[in-house]
Amino acid sequence: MNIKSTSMKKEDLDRLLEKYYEGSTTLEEELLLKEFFVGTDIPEGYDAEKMIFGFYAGFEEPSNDLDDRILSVIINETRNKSRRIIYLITSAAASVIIITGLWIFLSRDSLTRDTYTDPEIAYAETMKILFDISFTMNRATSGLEPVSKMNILKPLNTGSPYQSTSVSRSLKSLEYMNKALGLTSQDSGDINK
Amino acid sequence: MTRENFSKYVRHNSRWLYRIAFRFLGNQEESEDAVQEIFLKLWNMGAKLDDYVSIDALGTTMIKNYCIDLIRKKKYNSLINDSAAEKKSNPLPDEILERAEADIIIMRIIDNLPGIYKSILIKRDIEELSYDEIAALTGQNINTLRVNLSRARAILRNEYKKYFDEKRRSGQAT
Repeated sequence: MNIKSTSMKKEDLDRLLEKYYEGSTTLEEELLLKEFFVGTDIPEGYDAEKMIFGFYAGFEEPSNDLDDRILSVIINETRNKSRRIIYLITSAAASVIIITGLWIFLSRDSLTRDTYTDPEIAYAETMKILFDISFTMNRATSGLEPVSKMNILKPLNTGSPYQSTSVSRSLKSLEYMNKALGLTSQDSGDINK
Repeated sequence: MTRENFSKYVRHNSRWLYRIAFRFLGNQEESEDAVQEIFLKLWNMGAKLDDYVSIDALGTTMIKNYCIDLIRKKKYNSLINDSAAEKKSNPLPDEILERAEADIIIMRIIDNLPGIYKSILIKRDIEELSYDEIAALTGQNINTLRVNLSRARAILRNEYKKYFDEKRRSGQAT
């Protein structure tokens, strides 16, 4: 609607307004009133009419598809939101699964061992394992036993210089080996506990 | 608020909110953007929009504030770009604000009218339909329409006057 302001004499204005409030005005007369009240030449005492006709005048309409555009944005927003939530839940679940799997994998040895419910059987099995270990250890170290019994930290007192260097050299390597096996004179008894 | 109810709410209220935005912003594009923004906010608030046929006070307040903020930002941007411009404490001409406030009040009054009055007022004064057209749409005869229209217009004027006098007396804007 193209509104241009008009001027009107006060008597004409009052007459027209009276018709308006009776519901007797034509569309053209109503348009005239609307045009008048967007103008600047409005006498005092017509504040209500000024605002009300100003409200009607040039009642701008948005595009026909505004509602559809608004609703399509909202639908996408909701879709994105639910997609995001699903993503978060799935990735959280996936993380839990991965971490759990990793933990199971890393602690599989202790887990498999911990399969006995009866404490007596568990004890017996444990003793068996320990016996196996000590038996294996003993067999491996049985050839060294005479050596471990010697106090290898004390230097040998022999007269001959040849003997001392070759013996001390081989004793030195034995010393390292014993240390590696944890078979120094202090430790030798602990394995079989 | 289900999507279906909200879509009814949108279809009913968009032109009213658009009207307010246009009062502030003066152009179609920005006004439509403003309306879209507000509906999106309302949707995300999960606002309790019970009665979808009512012009929501929340929506009108939100769009008013949104437009005022937008204008402030625009003014600020143009101020910092233009060194010669003088700083104004209120970026909005009082008249625009006054008119927008009046628009909101008038909308609420119209919305609260009894159904028959509301219907005839909108069809005649906003949509500018002829009496014949309105009679065809509502099934009422023309004399009844005139009487109802007369009452509707009187109620609107009286209610608005009530608000305006109240406002002047308290000396505050709503």
